[in-house]
Formats: sequence, structure tokens, C-alpha cells
Amino acid sequence: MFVSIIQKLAIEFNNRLKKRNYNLNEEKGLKLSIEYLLEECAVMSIWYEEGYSVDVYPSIRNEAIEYCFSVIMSQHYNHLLLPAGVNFKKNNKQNSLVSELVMQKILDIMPGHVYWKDINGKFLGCNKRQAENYGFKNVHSLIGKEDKDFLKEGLAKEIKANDKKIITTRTEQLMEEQTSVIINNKWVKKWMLSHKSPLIGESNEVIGLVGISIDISKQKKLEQILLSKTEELSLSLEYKTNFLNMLSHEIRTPLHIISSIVEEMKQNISSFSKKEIDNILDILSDNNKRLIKLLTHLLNSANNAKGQNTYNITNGNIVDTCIGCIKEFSCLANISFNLGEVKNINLSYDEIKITQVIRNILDNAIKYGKSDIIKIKLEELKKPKAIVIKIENTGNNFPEDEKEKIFDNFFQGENAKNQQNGIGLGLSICKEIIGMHKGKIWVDNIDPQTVSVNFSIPYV
Amino acid sequence: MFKILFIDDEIPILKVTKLLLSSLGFQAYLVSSGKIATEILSDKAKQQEIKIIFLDLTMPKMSGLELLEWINKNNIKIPTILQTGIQDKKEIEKAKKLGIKDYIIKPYSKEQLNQLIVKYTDK
Repeated sequence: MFVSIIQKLAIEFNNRLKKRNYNLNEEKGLKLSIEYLLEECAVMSIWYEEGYSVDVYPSIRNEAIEYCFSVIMSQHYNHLLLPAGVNFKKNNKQNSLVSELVMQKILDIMPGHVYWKDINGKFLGCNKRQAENYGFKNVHSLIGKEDKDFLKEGLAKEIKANDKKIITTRTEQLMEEQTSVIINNKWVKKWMLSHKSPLIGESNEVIGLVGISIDISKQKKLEQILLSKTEELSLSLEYKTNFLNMLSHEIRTPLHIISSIVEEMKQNISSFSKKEIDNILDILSDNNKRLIKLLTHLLNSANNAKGQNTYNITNGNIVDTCIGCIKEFSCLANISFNLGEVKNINLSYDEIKITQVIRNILDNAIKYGKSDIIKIKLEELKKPKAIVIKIENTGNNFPEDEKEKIFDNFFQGENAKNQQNGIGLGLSICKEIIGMHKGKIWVDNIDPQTVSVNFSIPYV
Repeated sequence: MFKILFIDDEIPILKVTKLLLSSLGFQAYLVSSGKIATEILSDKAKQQEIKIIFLDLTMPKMSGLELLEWINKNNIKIPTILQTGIQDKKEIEKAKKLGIKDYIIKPYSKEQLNQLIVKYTDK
């Protein structure tokens, strides 16, 4: 007889679904209704045991159907319809039992976790989601347990400390806290947004707390990505501002020198001696070269960025390339060369580009070094087979967090700030060139007063 | 005859400035670092001769801003002018807060240099 009641209820329920224009075929709708109503047997059987007959049923049927309707809608269609007609007035005992079950059902369908604990942190109740997330089959299995019974010690302690704050201060609080939940039989760390309020007893004493938590792990992950991207962007903006400042300085200084000299000579050329004119022409020539060098750097960098640099890889002798650079810089620094135990000095590389790398590194060593002593050393790498060129000079050590950044465009390390003639492009150009040769470039702090910039070129 | 203290780490700038100032009829201490400038300013006799200071912003070891801080700390009341290749408002604001009277952006003309000297030395 009971099954036939459910059948009747299900048919009526399905009719209501149709009336409300939910796109549900009859068979599926009926199946869902029956499935759900069978689950609700506990509620039905209470009514039955309490002496309701089939005849009595119609009087409360509407409410029951409304309730089932709302629950099914929320579970299967993501619609949250509150059980509009749950209004049982037959007797108090039944009313209380049914209300409790209805309340538990409402808590179970709520998005998020609901729980309440006593003053010692023992769970007094919770919704199904909360119990399942901690690996319990039902709500009753969690009741009486504490977080420390199933969570790792550190996490349980943190949660307990948060709970203690609510209980001792008697104030509700919104907080982000970490916990672990079981997903596919594995504990996974999650971030929850929790609202916790103290539970106040009849004598106005705190008897525990009630909490609602929502999983915000995805949002937290996005927040972290956003934070790191913001940091990257602001750093990149800082590099670019520094770059523009240095570029402005690098262009305006030689321009000022050239324009001042030209103007002065135009007005008073007769007052200059031959020696003075020679001296002035040297200054003009140096500053002209400085502007051309800057322009070449900028164009190289722009071409690197566009991937438009062409490489002319030929067989060459790396020792000859190094010696050529040493000769070029010999009037500015005391550069020694050590071939070490390298036997095969013939490599395939773009000689012009590798010369540019060595020049840039030597230029930096002279600019930022503390003495004019520079050592170029060659080493042979076995795995992968490559030649390593190390350029050592005396200077401040590279801070650990700058070791990779110094190869970024526009980056100027602590050692380079406030120094002249630097726009933070030299090493980024080197990185690009070495990358095209499938080699590596890196820096080492040899001792507190010695640094080394190294790069490798693989044997083909 | 008063003297001008001119600080710039670029030697060619010092050479050119020497040319410009002598053709304007001024005498100057032309120095290539903040440290040398502090040594000159620490000498009372030399400090009294100096009626105007021109300083660069971007210098190694002691930057223009650090030199300005040193000048303030030592209670030196000589008008200071920033002469720089950096046209960054933030940097100029920082220098203004540290007490510069004026600033001039490279490249500047001999006449602009002269006007500033006249304005701040009541020559």
C-alpha cells in the first residue's frame, strides 16, 4: 500500500513538473520522482506510523509534494526553491521529528559546509557535505569527533585557535582558513572562507560555535596568480621606467656635450688653439661613437624582441675571437687569458654575435668592476659537450635573487644602480644570442670579491 | 669673485662646462663625484667662496640625491640646481623635496646656464 501511495505522489509530482514547464520527459521525471520519494520513505513512514491513513494523506499531500519538488529541483536543476508548504500541525512530536529531518535536508542541499561544535571543539552536528569531505559516510559518524581526530596536527591546531577566538571574544568572524578534505580517497588541502559565530546558551554562556564554510581554493589560486602577475607587471614597469630614465640620460648627456661644443665653437672658433681644437674633436668623436653604440644596442634589442636577428653560423676558432676582444679592450683593462686544458677550440658559432657577447660582458666588468683586472678562462664541458667561457672580475657579489633577473630586459641590479652608461640591455642581448647557439649563460660568485659571468657554446 | 661648484661624473661634461663657464667669465670647482664635492664643501674657506652648486642626479657611489641629503645634514645654505639628463618627474620631485632651487635638463644652452647663475647669485 505504501508503495502505491508513493506511486500516486510521484505521478502528481510529475504533473506539476510539466505544468511548470520544466523540460523533462515523462519517463525521466517519473523516475526521478520515485527515486527521491523512496528516499523520503523515512519521512513517509513516520506519518504512516503516526496513524495517517491514505485518506488523511491528501490533506498534507500538497505540502509534501511541494517540499519534494523543491528538493529535487535544487538537486537536479540547481534551483533553490524553499519548501514553501512545510507546515505540519498534526501533533508536536511528529512536527519536531519532521522539522528536524527537513532542517537536516535543507542543510544538506546548501552549498558549502555547515557545522556546529561544542566549547571543546567536538562536532555536535553538521551537514552531509561537511561529513563526506572529512571521509565520513554520514553526519552521525562525525558527531563527537574533533578536527584533531582526522586532520593533520598543524591544521587542526590552526582551526582550533580560530575557533577559540570566536568562543573567547564572543564575536562572529569571517576568515580564510586552510583545511584538508578527502577527494578520490586522498587528502587534499583546501582554502575555505568561514563565517563562525558563537553559540550562546540559555544562561547567556557560550556553549560552542556554528560555522559555515565555502571552498574558495579556486579563487585563492586565481588570487595568487593575480598577485604574482601584478608583482611581475609592477616589476616590469619599474624596469621600463629605469630604462627610460637611463636612456634619457644616455642620449641627453652626449647630445649636451656635442651641442655645447658646436655652439661654443661657432661663436668663438678663433679663440681656440690647435691643441684645444684637437682635444675638442676627440670629445666630439667619443660622444658620437657613444650615441652610435647606444643606437646599435637598441636596434639589436628590438630585433631580438621581434625574432628578426639573422645568424651566420660558421666554423671558427673561439680563442681567436677572445683574443680579438682582449685587444679591443686592452687600453681600458688588464685582461688575462687562460686556455686551461681545452684541446678542441674549433666550434660552430656566429663570430660577430659571440664577439658582441664577450664585448658586452667585458664592458660590464669594466663599468661595474672594482679593479681593472679581468680574467678570461676557457673550460671544456663533457656533458653536454661544450666550451665554457668564463669572464671573472673583482666586484660585489650578485645577490641570489638577481642571478637570473640580470638577464632580463631593462633589469639593473643593485650593483648597477646609480652607475653611468647602463640601460640594462647588454646581458639580455647576450642571453638571446647564447640561446640561439643552444648554449647557457649564468653568473657565479667566486669569492666575496670576485664574480664571474659564464656562457657555454656546445660542440655540434 | 665667487665660485661655482659643478658636479657631474662625466668627464667630457666637466670639460665642456669648463669651456662654457670660462667663456661666461665664471670660475668653478668642477668635480666628478659627490665625495669630492663633500670634501670641498667641508673646507670652510672654499665653502664661503661657493655661491651656487650644480649637481647631476645619476652618479656612481654617491648619487645626486644622496649629495643633497649630505648638504642638508651639514646645514649648507648654498642654492643648489639640478642639472640632469633624466626627465623623470618623480626624481625631480624627490630633489625638490631635498631643497633644490631649480633644475635644468640636458642638453641646455650656455645662456640658460648663465640665467640660472645670475638668478641665484644676484650677480
